[in-house]
Amino acid sequence: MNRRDFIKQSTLFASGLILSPFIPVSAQARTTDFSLTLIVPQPDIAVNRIQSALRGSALASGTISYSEVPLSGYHLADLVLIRNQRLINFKQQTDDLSCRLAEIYREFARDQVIENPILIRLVSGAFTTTPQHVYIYRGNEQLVRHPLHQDTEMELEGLKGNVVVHIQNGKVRIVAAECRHQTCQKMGAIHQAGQHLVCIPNQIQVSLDGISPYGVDSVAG
Amino acid sequence: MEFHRTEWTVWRVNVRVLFYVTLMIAGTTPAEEMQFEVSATKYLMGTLVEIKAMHPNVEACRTSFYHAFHEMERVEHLLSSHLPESEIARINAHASEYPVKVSAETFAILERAIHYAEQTNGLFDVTIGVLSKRWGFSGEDEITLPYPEEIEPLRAKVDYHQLDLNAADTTVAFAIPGMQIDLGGIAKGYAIDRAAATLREQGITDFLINAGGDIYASGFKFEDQRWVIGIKHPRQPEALLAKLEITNSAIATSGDYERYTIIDDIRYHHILDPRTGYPARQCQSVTVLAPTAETADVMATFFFVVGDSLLSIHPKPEYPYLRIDESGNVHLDSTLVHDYHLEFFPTQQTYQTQKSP
Repeated sequence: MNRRDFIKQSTLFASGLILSPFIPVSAQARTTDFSLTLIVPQPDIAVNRIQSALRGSALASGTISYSEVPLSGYHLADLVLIRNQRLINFKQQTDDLSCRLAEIYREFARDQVIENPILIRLVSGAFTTTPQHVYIYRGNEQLVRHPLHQDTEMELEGLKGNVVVHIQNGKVRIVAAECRHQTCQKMGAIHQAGQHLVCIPNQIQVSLDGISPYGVDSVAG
Repeated sequence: MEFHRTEWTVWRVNVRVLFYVTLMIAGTTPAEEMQFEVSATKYLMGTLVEIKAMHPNVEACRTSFYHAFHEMERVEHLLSSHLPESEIARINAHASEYPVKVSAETFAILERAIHYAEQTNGLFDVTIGVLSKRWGFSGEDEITLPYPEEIEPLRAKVDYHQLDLNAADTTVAFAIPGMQIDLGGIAKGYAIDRAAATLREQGITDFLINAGGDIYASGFKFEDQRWVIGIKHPRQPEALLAKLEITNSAIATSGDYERYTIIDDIRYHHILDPRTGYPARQCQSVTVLAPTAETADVMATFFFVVGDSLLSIHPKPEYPYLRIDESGNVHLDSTLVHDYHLEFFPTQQTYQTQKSP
């Protein structure tokens, strides 16, 4: 390589180095995998406060999955932050995000037992395609969270009658349902993340956590 | 200016380096904004409806979802034949005796339903209601096989020409007493389209609505990544057959695997052929892409009933489709592979794929 070529190559290499700080951290290796779970009486104000706490923090990059679900019965109000698979004790830390989460905790969650609260979940990054839990909902309300690999059979009261859910060897199926067309039983057994069974007349939905190994956002049919 | 071979090679390498540097800059600046994927579900129109949206503001999504679900609920109260106070239930109860006054919206849907019936030579016919009811496919009735002698008198009441629509006073009357309207093949699609319009009015542009397997996807999941939709395997209920990518498009599937019963080893499902009064026989499932959920819904039913004759329809259907015939062979538009990145998953059952040009 002659001198002229070397200068040309070096100039391009240098321009790459100069510009690299402008490439955002989020486009480099992700370091902000987290899940933030809240159990609160009403989601409206809490959601806004959480969103504003996240904005500008180290967690504010990429896509954050948000969902909320009513819980049945009495639950202790709470706020839990897990970051890079470690439970964070935000109440004893001094960074801005921890202080703001501690404020939200004091305002919405401290030592309260609430009847039929709302569970809010914000998750970023660490999505798994290996399901760990079976979630059962009636209407929009979460009735059950059960480990997938703990065999059991449970009977749930649906809108029209009872629905029996059978969990065995990591597979879940509806084995009996008081409904006319029995479509839910014909749906077979589910075992993969993101799959679900639904008994429409009874408004019972059985879901496995995690994201679909098929890499789909939704299913037609 | 003349280039020597070595000099030209160096320039080519440098141009490539410059290209990658430019690509890195263009692809990553400005800094990535925090984006939420907000999802919510609700039981509506006899099915589970899910809405997902990508947006920087959770509260904006929550408010918009509320309005979108409310809009679907409003459509359900207008069009569901199972709700006694709905306009369609009132038509079914009284239109044999006198013209029933309906809203402009319901009237417009019925006009479009007649247009679809004309387009499909009566193979999509909303006056199928009397047959669906007898079979037990509408609502929560038990599915029972009609006696052969029952079919013909009921089939005579399935004829969209006998649906009298009077545009002057928006009334609906049945020319044959006992006719029944079933908007099952169109109402869900219309409700999805209304919900999509509501979300857009609220400023949400990147979203997906799934009502019991009928889907409308708007915009993108990420910057330029389209929404990925799985298609159910018609004979392995827990598995997916394929996936494809869509944006600003609807997708609907008609399948023989949901509402059905098996009597003497014969599967009797809910997609009835108006020509015979019996379930259409030549498909296991048909998936159709269309610009609106209503059209996708209608065309999926139509293509299912047409079955093997789909390729001989003139003019050629303009909607891309994936059809699994009764023997399990796959027939598809090659545009699904080229434009929508259709990919099949390995399944226990072997399929023969036949592409149409």
